[in-house]
Amino acid sequence: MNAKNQTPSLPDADPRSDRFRCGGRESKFLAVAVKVDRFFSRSVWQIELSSHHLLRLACLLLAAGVFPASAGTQMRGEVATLVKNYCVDCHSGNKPKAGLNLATLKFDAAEPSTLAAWIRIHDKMAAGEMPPPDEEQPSPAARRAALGTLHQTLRAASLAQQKTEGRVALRRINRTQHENTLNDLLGISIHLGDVLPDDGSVAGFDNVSEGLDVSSAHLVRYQDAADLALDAAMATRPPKKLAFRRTGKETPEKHAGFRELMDKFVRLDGERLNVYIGLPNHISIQSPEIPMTGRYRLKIVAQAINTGDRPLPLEIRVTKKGDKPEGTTLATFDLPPDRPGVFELETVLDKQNGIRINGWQLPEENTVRNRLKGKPLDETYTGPGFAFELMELEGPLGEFPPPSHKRLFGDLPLKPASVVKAELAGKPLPEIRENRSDDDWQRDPLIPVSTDPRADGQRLLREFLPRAMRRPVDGQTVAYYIAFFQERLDKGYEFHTALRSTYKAILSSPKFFYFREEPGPLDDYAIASRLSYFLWSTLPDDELTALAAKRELRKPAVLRAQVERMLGDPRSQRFIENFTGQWLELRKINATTPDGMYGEFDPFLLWSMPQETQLFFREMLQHDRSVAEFVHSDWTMLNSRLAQHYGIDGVKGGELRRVTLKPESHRGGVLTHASILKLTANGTTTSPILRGKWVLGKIIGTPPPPPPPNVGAIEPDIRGATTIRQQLEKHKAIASCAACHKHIDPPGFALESFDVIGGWRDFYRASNSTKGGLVQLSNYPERKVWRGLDVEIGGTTPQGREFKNVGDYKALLLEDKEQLARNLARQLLVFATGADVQFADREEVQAIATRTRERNYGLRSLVHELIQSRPFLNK
Amino acid sequence: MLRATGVAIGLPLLDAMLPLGLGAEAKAAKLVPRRMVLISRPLGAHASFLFPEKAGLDYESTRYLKMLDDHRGRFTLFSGLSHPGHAHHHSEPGLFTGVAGEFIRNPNDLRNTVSLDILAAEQVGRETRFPNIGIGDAHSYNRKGVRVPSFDGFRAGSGAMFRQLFVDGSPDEIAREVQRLRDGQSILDGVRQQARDLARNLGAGDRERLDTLLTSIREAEQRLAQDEAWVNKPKPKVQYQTRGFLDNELIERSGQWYDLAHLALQTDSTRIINLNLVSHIQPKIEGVNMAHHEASHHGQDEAKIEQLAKIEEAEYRVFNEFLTKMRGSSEGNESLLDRTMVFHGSNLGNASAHTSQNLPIIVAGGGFKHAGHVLYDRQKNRPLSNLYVRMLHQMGIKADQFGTSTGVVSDIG
Repeated sequence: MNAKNQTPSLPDADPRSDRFRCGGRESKFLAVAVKVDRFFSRSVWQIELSSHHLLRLACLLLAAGVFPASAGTQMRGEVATLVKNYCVDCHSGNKPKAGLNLATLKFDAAEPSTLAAWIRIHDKMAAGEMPPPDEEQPSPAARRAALGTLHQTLRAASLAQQKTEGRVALRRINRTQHENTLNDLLGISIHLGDVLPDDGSVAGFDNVSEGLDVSSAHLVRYQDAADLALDAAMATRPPKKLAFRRTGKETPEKHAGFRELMDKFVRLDGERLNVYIGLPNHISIQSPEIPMTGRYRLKIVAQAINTGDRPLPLEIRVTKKGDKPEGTTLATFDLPPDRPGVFELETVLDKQNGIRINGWQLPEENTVRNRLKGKPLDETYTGPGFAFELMELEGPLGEFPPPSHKRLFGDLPLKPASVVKAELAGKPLPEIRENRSDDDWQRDPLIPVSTDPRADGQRLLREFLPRAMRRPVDGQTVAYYIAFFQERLDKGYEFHTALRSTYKAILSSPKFFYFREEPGPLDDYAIASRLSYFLWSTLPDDELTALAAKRELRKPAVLRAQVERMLGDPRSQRFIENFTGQWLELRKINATTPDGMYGEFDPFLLWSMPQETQLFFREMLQHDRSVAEFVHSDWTMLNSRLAQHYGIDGVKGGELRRVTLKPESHRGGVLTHASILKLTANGTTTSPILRGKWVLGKIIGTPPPPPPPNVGAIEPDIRGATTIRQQLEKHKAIASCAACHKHIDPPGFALESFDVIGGWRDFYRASNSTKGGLVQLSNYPERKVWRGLDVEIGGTTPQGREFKNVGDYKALLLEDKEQLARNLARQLLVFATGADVQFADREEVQAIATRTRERNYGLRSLVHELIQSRPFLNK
Repeated sequence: MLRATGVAIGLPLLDAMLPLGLGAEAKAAKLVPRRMVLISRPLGAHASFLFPEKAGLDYESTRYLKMLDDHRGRFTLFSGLSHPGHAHHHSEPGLFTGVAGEFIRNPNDLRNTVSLDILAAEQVGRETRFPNIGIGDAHSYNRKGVRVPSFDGFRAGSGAMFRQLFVDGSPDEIAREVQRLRDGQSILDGVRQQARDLARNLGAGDRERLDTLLTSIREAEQRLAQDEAWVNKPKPKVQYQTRGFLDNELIERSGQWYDLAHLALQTDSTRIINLNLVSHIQPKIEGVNMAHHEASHHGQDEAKIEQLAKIEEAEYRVFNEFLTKMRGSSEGNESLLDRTMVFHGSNLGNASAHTSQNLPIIVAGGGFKHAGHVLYDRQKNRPLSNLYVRMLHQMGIKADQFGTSTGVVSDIG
């Protein structure tokens, strides 16, 4: 194996390595942090401000025998002297500035909060923010020396911690991963949203170990989740087939509700049913309820009417009995205007799901009524609509028993429980009628039968365990579960009950719900899991597991090829959804409902918003586009609805596609996506503070600290009297506010030209009449709004650079593309590994960014480099 | 069977259990059950329609307090309470934990602590079938800061809750449930063994994490054991019909949750309830044509404030009906309300400004000597956790401190 093929591992934190040179001298001081740690469980020392403390430390080190009496003190002295001369005056006493008391702050490598404090001190000094510019400054040399020492010390402490503990603390799979793992392990489709507790979010992501405690509620609910999964997987009755077929003509015959709409809003046209309104929930074109969970084939045939040369977007929804009646959108399909369009899809549907279709954007009843002026609806009507020809829904597809059952019980024969009982007793077999009722099957289900329960159980458990635990399972663990199974057999459990109970125990085990990572370089199986949970949010598939077994996964070329394969797999959509859902906060897209002032907002627009951003991310990933395009791109992903919202012509149909943007469109990059602009507003007003904070934290990677407690809040005023800028003026005037708000407010003001749903605006809307009067919106000809005060745009960055509008501001951001790449590398690192970025990771984040420089910081390259990096391949 | 407020209930045995003889009164006092209901709403309350100017019992009833006039003297309204450092919608998880502001200010980095209901349930929860009940995504957090699941606020939650509280399973179902609980306990035993096995190759920090897992295992075992102890006991019988509500039927849905809470307390099925009355959309209330969230973020628009007032009035009205039912049910020589402290509040003070100062806090019943309107400094608020310490004391729970408390509220006797 050549050097290139070696897994990047943690550098030795030994001072003899020349990594630890500081100012050309070897830093023996660093040995303190590391070596003391080997002797004591925690290494603690203080920035000495008195010789008394120094003496005590020296004695301690001498006693430990690791350290000559004179060493270390000088190095530490550089930091201590600087702190003593320039910092401690303000940062000490009863009310130390920023709550930081440097007179008492210890350096304790094992104590996260003091380590964090020292990192903050380092960063403030490095940024030149401390000591404050208007205070006395240390000489550049003294600052450099102290920073160098501090940097090396912190790095060593961080590395030492990573070496002994790993940077990722013991981590469980989160709720989303738990659901996917059970579903993919067994080949089922269950939902655990109502079963498992919410996951905590740390460092912006819900898969970070610190936020993932295992409480008693989890342990109890894990068993419930396992029960649900096993029930879903086991075949207890022959499939109840659905073969649904309905034509347009049959629809009103079967659904009485349509009769009241007939020849007013819908009409029959041969075999077709022409629909000219958005159908209400209680009268709709829909399938029957799905009788049992499984894969189904759906086919819909329909055509647009009276839409000129434009397609009509059809919404295909999944409903669930007892859930909200409108259901959730499954897909949007563009019906062609000139011929029937055929939509076909194979998808997993749950028991009690139904399929329902409707035209996005068809008018309400009143609009059609007004158009008809009392005349009946006939072929002379010219309003838009669609002609529904056919809906077919078939399933469950596939063999019986389903693969999910076979994964648990192999090919053991299935028989009704009553038959098994009779066979055992040697009695005549009961008659099992062809068309038994649901109740019959409930009372007398199919059960797997074994002639050698002990051997069959052992065989099946041995197959199941390594897949569930995502790695080979040691003999002791296998023995435990076999004994568990045997114990139940001995207690008189039936074979299938005993086995089911053991499966439940396995799916509730810490070896199931924890990631298995040991300090140091990850083994192949742990790498397989990191990869699959990163890119698929689920357990590794057979190919990954096979490569792990062959110890191939650590080879960079193999790793690269696997990442390529995984990104091409449909499961990578989970990465896109979970990562953008949290990095860009797309999960919050529907957190607030826009104010009535924004009457143009509709469900089609809401559905389209996150689609644009997710597809944009997919496109970036697919084509290795530069991360700078998150800030600005000359293209985006649009459908007709978003295009109208953005005032862009020529985009037809509801399916999103790549569209080239003209410079005057004001759009480009995620900052101008309606999704982002909506989720950074509160539905009623926009706040430059919230948007600015979002840009700093999500795009630039310099999140501002949370506001100090008990600061006054902005009381929005939508009566049209004052603008937000006027209200924020005082940020400039008060120094303590300005320190942060000079960073936060400018990006927010750059985005002030976009309203709460991401529409472009030159003026604020008012909730009631204004001097400005009613104004017609150019992209929504039917909408008029009250004109409030003009939006004041532009601003100045903390570096004194002026910008007039969002375009100018984006140009300023693009001046430092590497910063954008570093930020994305950080975000991906947290999500991929489940731990926040630590001090020793900073150099790796930089290295990842550097290595993608020549590929213009392409997103896919960034993912590859991250996966090949030290933090990804070590615990 | 006893008829009270339109429902028939099987009376719990509490009255019959009272001790007699020497020292009986003191013993009896200890046996008197103390109960707690925490009610949260997400969008604050319009201050000028809630808080009167005058402190004390003879305050002038404001627009909202008029809704509660039936119970004047039996509740206390607090002005000037808040959790230091809390603000914005994402302060919701901290309402009942009083977690330090620094741990809740970043919505993507929340480190919560235990909530009042869960802490109380640890002490008094052993007495009842359910140690505590959370309803509607309740803001209940355990000692690890993990949100404890609740009965769902919108879907079949009310039916599921009713069945679990009041409907006995068939003998078969009960046998299966017993089996499930026992299996559950032996599975937990396996969890413990496997966890010890895991610890072998881990660093010290991870071993510590596994230690906390062992604590969780013990707690889960206790939970299952308690369930098993109750599973064969018949459930109290009540006559009540639950129904599902549409998303916009805020008041009707709240009314049903209040009814179920009342029944659960009256039958002593639990003594601790945490009820979250989520509301953001446009509720079906006469004269209301705006989403609740939108009206609460009124930006000083008079028309919106009026819309908000109509919604909030209805919320206080249905809360009043709950208090009336609680007062109308008696246990021993007291009303149920006297033995149940009912907390009603929100994590926001002024939703339009997203501030969490001057929270709208009402405490009713619970055997307190109520003080009408307690007026603290509206500029320099007192910690709401000081009230929580007082509530814990009233539950008979020793507590020096809770959340960010700095003392204890002494204004209610």
